[in-house]
Amino acid sequence: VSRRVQPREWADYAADRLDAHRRAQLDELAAADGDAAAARERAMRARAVMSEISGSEAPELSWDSAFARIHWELSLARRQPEVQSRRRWPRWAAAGAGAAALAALALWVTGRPDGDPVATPQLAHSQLDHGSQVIPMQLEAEPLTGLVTLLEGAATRDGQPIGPDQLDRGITVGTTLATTDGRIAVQFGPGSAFELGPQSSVRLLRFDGGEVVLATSGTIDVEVSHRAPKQRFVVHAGANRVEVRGTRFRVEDRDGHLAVSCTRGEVATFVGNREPMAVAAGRRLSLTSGASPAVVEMSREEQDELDESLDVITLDSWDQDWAGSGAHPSGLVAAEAASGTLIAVDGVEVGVAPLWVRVAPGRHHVATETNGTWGPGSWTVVGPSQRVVAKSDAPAAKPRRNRARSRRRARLIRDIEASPAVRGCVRGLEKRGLAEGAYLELEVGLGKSSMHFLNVLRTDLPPAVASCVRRAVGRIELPPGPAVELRHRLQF
Amino acid sequence: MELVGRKNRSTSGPSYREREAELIARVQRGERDAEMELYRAHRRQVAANLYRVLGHADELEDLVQEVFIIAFKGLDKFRRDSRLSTWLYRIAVNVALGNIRKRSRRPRTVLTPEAGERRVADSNHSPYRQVVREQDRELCYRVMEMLAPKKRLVLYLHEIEGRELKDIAEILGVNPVTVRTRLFYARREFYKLLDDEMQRMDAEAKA
Repeated sequence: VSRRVQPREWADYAADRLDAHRRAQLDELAAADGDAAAARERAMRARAVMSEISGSEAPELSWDSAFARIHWELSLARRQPEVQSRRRWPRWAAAGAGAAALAALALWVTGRPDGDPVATPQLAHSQLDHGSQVIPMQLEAEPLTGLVTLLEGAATRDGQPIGPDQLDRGITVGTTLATTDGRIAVQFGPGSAFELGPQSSVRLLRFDGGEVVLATSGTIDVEVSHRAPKQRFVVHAGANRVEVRGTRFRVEDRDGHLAVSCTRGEVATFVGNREPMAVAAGRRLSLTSGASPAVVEMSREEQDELDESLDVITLDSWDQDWAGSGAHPSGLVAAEAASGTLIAVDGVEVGVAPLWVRVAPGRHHVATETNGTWGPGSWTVVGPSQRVVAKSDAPAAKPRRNRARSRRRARLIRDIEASPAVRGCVRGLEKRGLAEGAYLELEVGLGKSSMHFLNVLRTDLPPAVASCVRRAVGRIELPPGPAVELRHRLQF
Repeated sequence: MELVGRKNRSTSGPSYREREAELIARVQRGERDAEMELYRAHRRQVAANLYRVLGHADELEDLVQEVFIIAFKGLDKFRRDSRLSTWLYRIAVNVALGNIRKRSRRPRTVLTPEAGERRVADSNHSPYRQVVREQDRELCYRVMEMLAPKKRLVLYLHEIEGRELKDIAEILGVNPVTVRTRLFYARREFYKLLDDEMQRMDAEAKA
């Protein structure tokens, strides 16, 4: 018998999965060799623990309150089809109702009476960046305060650039956040957070325990834990409204195209004056101006990828009072790394430098990626309210982004978007009305004079069309300049 | 095939099937009492399944809710060729998988060795064996957390729950060949890591 018995074979021994002959051989080995005997002992210990686990019971839970929330969710879901199946009103009645709604809205603007929750206002798209009205808080509702858990690249708060020293400042109602090429994530409850994608903005129209209303433009990823009855969570994207209870979803509102993708739970989308449309987990609603909204099933891969990207960075322990007082016992960590370097904290990719990520106090492992290889990383201790820059493990820092790079990157995006060859690839689909809402996300590495790499990261186009687009992008020629890398989403 | 229900075995037989079918029909009609009855009959089993897969009780209540919401909403999809408890088990395992994925992508505080030592010191009043058993249990879950979520789940179902490859494939909705491949790599990785960690722990204890 070989003296090198693999641990998994000892595990089979402990689980009594070996035949008698092999078992006897291993017993013989263990009797003759102390190391083998110790390995057998460890395997037996592991098996005993596994048997114990398989018979363990769960702790007691608040069974009744859990059931109350289940029942509430089910009742809500059952009411949804009833609303959709209601008979349409005659035109004159719809016109009358519209007039009444306008009058009610006028009344609300001039002075809303206290009492019942009000319908949130329909916002014009152009209003988003120009001081949409903050909705008055209901008297009994507790105001919420959010905390930035991730800042990647540049972002502004009420028009002012956000520096690391402002990250502990609570995010309250009326705040407007906007990003240029980065992302910003805000947590506002246990398991509840939103993340603003690049070139996007959000204004907190209402932010309290009773209701959260966000007006957005661009891309927003939302993860909301289950709301208690009477709590609402609403996202306005232009004139459209997305309403949820407990779920994970993304709203993209760009260039007249709206997409609402849901990976968990269910969201109700109110498009203009239409009946609410339910977007269940694994489905996506697409709407291009002038066309009818359509809800389609996402592929398994698309769902998985979306679910991963929708995983907003949040802290496991959350106390609203801490966030409100600006004394949350968490810290912020950054990596000493060149712009654009991928960073992982505790083995989790969190984004690209420059970034700050909020962590629980304690020891954290920060690593960076250089040329596709993760470095060994370094350990750093972060205390409450501390901002720590972890030492870089990269052998050489890349040059920081300069204006020439930005210009070259912008030029490349413009050329891709305007390329007749790229558009030609989807013409066939367009003729059949299948291109609306389709997308393709590219990763391009441009050297000084030629393209170094070109990858299709994700797309919902057929493979043949996607490779046609890839080839067309590969043929784009740019004048020599500094090397740049770029991720770009082509929306058709 | 019986996947769950160590405690439910006594309820087998046509009358149980009929009662279950009637209960499901009442839930589908929206009867709150029926929902409650079904929930009461299976809640502990669902919670225990989730708890065993995950190894902790964080968010357990939320996850139990999620399982029942998915189940109640999808009762139309429930095929009567298996038991409701089996179907709920499948949902629970997939909900647990979602949670494992979520947690594996989230930065978490790393336990320092000092924290581990403190726990041992605090357990002075407990018998030594029990402390070692608790440490081994914690270690077992910690090593499982190092595996990719899909591998972890396959390993759990096979090594801890003792499921057959065919059952695991059915629970996870994948090909049995895929399960076999995943299990091979998961076992190799898990037992190697577990053995290394146990050796390290034993060496530290001796020192």
